[in-house]
Amino acid sequence: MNEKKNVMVFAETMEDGRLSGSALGIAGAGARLAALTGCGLDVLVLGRDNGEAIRGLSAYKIDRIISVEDPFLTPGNIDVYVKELSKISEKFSPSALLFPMTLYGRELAPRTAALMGAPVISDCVACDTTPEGKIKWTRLSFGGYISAGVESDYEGTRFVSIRPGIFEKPEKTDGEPELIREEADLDKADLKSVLMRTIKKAAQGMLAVEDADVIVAGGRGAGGSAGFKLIRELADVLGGAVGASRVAVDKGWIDHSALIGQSGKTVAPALYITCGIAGSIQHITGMRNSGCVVSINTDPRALIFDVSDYGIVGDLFQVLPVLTEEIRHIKAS
Amino acid sequence: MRILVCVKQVPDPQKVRMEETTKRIDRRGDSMISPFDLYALEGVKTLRDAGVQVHATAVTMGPAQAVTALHDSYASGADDCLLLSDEAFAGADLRKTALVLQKAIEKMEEKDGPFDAIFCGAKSIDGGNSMLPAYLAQLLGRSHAAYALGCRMTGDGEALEILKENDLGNQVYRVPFPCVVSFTKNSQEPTYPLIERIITASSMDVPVLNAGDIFGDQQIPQAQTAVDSFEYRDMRRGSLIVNDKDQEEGARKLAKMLYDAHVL
Ligand SMILES: Cc1cc2nc3c(=O)[nH]c(=O)nc-3n(C[C@H](O)[C@H](O)[C@H](O)COP(=O)(O)OP(=O)(O)OC[C@H]3O[C@@H](n4cnc5c(N)ncnc54)[C@H](O)[C@@H]3O)c2cc1C
Repeated sequence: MNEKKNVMVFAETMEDGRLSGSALGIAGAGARLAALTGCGLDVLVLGRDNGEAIRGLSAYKIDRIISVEDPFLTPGNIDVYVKELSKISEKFSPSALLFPMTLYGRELAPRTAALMGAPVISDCVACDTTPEGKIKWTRLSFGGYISAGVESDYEGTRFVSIRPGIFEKPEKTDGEPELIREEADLDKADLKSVLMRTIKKAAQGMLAVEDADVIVAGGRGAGGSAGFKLIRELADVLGGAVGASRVAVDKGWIDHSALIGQSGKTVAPALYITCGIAGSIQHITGMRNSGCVVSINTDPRALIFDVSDYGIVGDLFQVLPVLTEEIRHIKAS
Repeated sequence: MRILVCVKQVPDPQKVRMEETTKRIDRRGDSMISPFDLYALEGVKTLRDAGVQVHATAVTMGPAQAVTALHDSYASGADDCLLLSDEAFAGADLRKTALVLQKAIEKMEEKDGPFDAIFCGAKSIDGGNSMLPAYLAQLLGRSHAAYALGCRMTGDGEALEILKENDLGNQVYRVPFPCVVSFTKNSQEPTYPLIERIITASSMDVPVLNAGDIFGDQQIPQAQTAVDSFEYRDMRRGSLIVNDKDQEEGARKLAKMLYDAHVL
């Protein structure tokens, strides 16, 4: 009998070596799959210095952390990540290798899978076993209008990309994961597409939308930075993050990291408040799994109201100051 | 330089249906070119506007009616078009699609010479997994950049400089030829095509390659993943909407509603 192979999760890290906001949720998806298939859970960290990331993982129920450190392993160097990922995938041949459906994950998963000759099941939001004992992933398409169950007969390592913000973190535990350190052998020649410069550094220290339980998002109706100031104030009172529609990002009112929707992030906070957002399908795609949706819009026929639990027909410049003040009051009492 | 633009015809997202038996997207209804692909075609235009000589070929894999996506591509600046179409390609997953494209690209390159760059839309809005360009790049062993907002030729003419959308601030990559680049939406609306080109496009004959043309007597790759069930999800929620003349009063009402419902 073959020994059961572990599930492996690629833990995305940031420039400064910390775990990215989605990493623990993806590890949670791995824990779910491991439990369904009765095998262990490995988490893979690739970076320059993995100390922070390993500390961030060690409180959770993970069997092994596999760490590769190399000066070349910075997030901008995508080509070397692909090389290293395929090396590890070959060496450990996990039953499945899970990636976050983030900007990086969307590049790393298919490129590594292509090298390994494997298929990719993408944008998964749930994982179950069929009555025949096969693993079935649920993915959403057409902006969430259709959910589909996907199975694969592929025998090798299955590549799966997981929608961030859906799965719970793994359980906590007192026992520490086993730490396995792997050597990298990377070389400048491995890098084809070279990062020359970063145009504009995003604001540091702000709560990221993918980490937030509450998001207050602004669109064209916010009109500019004055509107976004009101939005930020409400977000602050709620301990939440600021999100945005494409129009607001394209106009430069807010960083791209706040973009929700088809060309941005998919989020599922407990509370999502929209301010001056029309409710295009491209935007709804990114937020429709939120717990409670509240919308402020001057147009009573705005599509956003169809996908909202609560709403107010009104000008956000009039509504937001009062709403923020009322909520501050409620929170204080 | 020679650029291949990979496009896809997608169903109208508001009207999409699935076929009950095959569990595949029903591709017979209203359809359109996937909107991200127009930004890939816009990438060609950007290079031309900067004085680069570009011959652009548009290609799509799909059923016969997918030819309309190629007509749209021609209208938006492609010089010629090619349809990859065969019953045997139906139900393709990511890997199968990439393998068919890879093989077809090799055939096209044998015939007319290599492509310096392959442009794609960042995602198709049906499957929407945004992974095809990266998968294809790796199969072809070419350099790759995703989520391009714009591109230009480098001074030495050996690479594209790609402005790439990124959370940590937009980045500039040097991506050496031959390369695969996927384009995302940027703040510019794609240029509306000239009416003459739209008219020419609608009556043009598009050459077709079938499985035999592409694979000869080699085996056609099989899909390794399959949809075995699906459901339509209702996106609507039962909304409680405050619509007071006095908006400040309305805002207070809303706050109370949220508090009473334990949302706060
Ligand atoms: C390929 C592609 C990808 C895209 N990706 C995304 C994406 O990821 N995310 C995304 O959001 N969009 C995306 N879009 C754009 C999308 O189609 C819409 O254009 C966009 O979402 C609209 O943004 P909006 O709702 O802020 O603006 P608008 O559609 O202009 O709506 C503004 C709304 O604000 C209301 N309003 C105006 N003034 C006020 C006020 N003072 N107070 C209250 N309400 C007010 C109006 O009634 C209106 O409903 C994409 C488009 C394409 C083609």
